[in-house]
Amino acid sequence: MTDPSHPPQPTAAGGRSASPGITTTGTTTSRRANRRTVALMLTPALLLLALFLVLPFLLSIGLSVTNYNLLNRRAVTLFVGLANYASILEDERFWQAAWNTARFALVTVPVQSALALLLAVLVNSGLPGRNLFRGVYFLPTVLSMAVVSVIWAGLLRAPQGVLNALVGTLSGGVLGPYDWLGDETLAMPTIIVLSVWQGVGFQMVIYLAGLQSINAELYEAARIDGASRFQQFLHITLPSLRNTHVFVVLATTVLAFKLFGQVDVLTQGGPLDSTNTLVRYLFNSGFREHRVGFASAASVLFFLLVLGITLVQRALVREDREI
Amino acid sequence: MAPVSLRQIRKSYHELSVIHGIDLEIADGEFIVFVGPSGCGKSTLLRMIAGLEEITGGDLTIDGVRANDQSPVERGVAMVFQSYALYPHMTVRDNMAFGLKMAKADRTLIAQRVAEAARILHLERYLDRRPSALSGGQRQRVAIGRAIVRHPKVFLFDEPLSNLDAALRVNTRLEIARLHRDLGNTMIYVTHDQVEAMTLADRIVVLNGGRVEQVGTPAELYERPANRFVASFIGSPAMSFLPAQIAALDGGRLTLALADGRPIPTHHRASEATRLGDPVTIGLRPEHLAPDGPGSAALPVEIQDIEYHGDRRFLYASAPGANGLTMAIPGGRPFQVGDRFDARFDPTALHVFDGAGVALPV
Ligand SMILES: Nc1ncnc2c1ncn2[C@@H]1O[C@H](COP(=O)(O)OP(=O)(O)OP(=O)(O)O)[C@@H](O)[C@H]1O
Ligand SMILES: [Mg+2]
Repeated sequence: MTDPSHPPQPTAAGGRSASPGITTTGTTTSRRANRRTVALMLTPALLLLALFLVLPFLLSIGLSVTNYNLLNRRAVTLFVGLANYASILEDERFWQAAWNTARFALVTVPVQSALALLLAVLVNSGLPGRNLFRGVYFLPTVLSMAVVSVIWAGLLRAPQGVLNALVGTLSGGVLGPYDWLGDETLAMPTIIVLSVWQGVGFQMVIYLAGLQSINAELYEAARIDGASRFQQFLHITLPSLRNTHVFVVLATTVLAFKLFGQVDVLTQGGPLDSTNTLVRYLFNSGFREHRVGFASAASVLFFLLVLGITLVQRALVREDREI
Repeated sequence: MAPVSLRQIRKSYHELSVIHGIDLEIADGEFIVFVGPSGCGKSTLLRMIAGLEEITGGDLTIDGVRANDQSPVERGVAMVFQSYALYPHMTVRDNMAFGLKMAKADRTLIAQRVAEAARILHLERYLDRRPSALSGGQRQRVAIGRAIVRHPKVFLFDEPLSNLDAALRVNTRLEIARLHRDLGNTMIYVTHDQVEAMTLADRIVVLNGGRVEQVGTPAELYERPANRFVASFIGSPAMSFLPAQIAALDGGRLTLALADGRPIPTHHRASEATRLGDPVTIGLRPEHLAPDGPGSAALPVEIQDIEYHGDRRFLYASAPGANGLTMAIPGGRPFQVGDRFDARFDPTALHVFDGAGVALPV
């Protein structure tokens, strides 16, 4: 709609309708050539995706209705229908793993996202040494989870690890020593802290990119309007990062559900299954117990679960394409 | 509404000094325009008045109170930015209400002020839209509305029209002039467009390299530019310049000699430093030089370019010792590139600048 008090400007209208796409001006032949180029460039990526993602997934759907077993090669592989699914859903250890995974995700997603945003804002605020901090926070992200876990295993050792020494000294010997990984109530919180520490740098970098794309004049306008630093954060920064929030929360959720490495190295799912996770559950049944059909069914269930959560999240927080 | 006073205002970024001590008294309700070439410090000066940029030295007083260390809100200023800087995730209504909300104003007062601004700026129909669903001109008016609702003492504008196309620019220029008439606030307006400066300003401040070249009404700057910089900056098309020499100083009035020796008697007086034989520059507005005008002085010219502007034409010509002389003539007699003739001018209408570019007194 145009304002009646200002006649529509031909330049503005022209600028809007002429999209940068090639198709608006292209003839049929050039459009066909264009389509061929697109297909040609997409093919390698699509082939790889098909080979390493779609095909294995279809295979596991197929395997999930069999009793295929890696060790028992000579036994005939039989169609068992939904028997694998039924026994998974009856398995208490599955539900324990699902609950642990959910617990982990429910804490890490908000905590890690909020912490990442806080660090990004601090690093972005022009404090001295900000490049150093950016590097320091990002460093754990580039380390392999196995390496991180081994380092932390040393720190967390009970009763004479570094962390226990620290807690003991700070509390004047009143607190500790704690068995960080061996105690049923402490193991999961410990895993959560370690995971947040390791992963927060990744989200921080994404938030940093988001922060740097905010028009600096908005903050000046807000200063003129009398907004304090905190009000600027609330009314400019947070809403401007909407699309970044959506991405960070989705990505962190998926990463949280994939929890495996640190648990497998540090606690082997224990004590008493208190840190066992869905990925570790299906990994164990497939590669340690060699029940491939059973594990495939677990992985299909896992896929459906993550898909469902992602869809719900997407529906709740829609990306705002207007901004 | 408030007077604003600048005393020896300076700005430097670390070692680099960009504003070198500016003195200026702005009266209550005055419309002041800062004009000057790119990089001369217009925005920096405005942003220091706004409170967005720290003042390195000097005193800024708004409404009788020293404002150097006050926040923008304490100063009572509102600002319209070149890129509008509207909050993209807020509706037009919320954009305009934001400042009052931050000030914890009463809700009915906010609603009333927003309605008032929307009425003045013809924005009633767009109050629930986001800025992204508005045209450039509408966004500009929202930005102005955001400034109006706060009833500021001083309005600040930083090149508010430069993102609009030509037709809309004229329109919005008129709206801003009307706004100033209706509200009567002190307004400080930055532009590099001398037409905007001439049409809007009560007084213009011409800046160059972080210094004030001249302060005056549009007519003063046009008719009595203090130096060659102001003379060439104000006026479109620009003033033409001719080299000359001081040929005689009879009775205080100067007689100049053009490059070909032709004598030109003028109204101008010598300054103390003027000596016989000094090189000077003659300045002529396009409307004061004509192919067959009434003037008593003649200048042999050759036409190099012709521009048709509908109501009139601009002839660009060369003369002995000078290029790019501009004449503005009404339609009528046809001219062609290469034509030679004696252009005429009135010696009392010309400007004379000494070797340092300073205007000689009349
Ligand atoms: N943050 C800064 N650090 C160093 N120098 C700066 C900074 N901001 C501005 N300057 C310098 O100050 C001078 C004045 O800049 P300013 O933006 O006020 O110019 P302007 O007159 O508004 O120009 P324009 O018409 O292009 O907007 C310029 O030479 C610029 O390079
Ligand atoms: Mg500027």
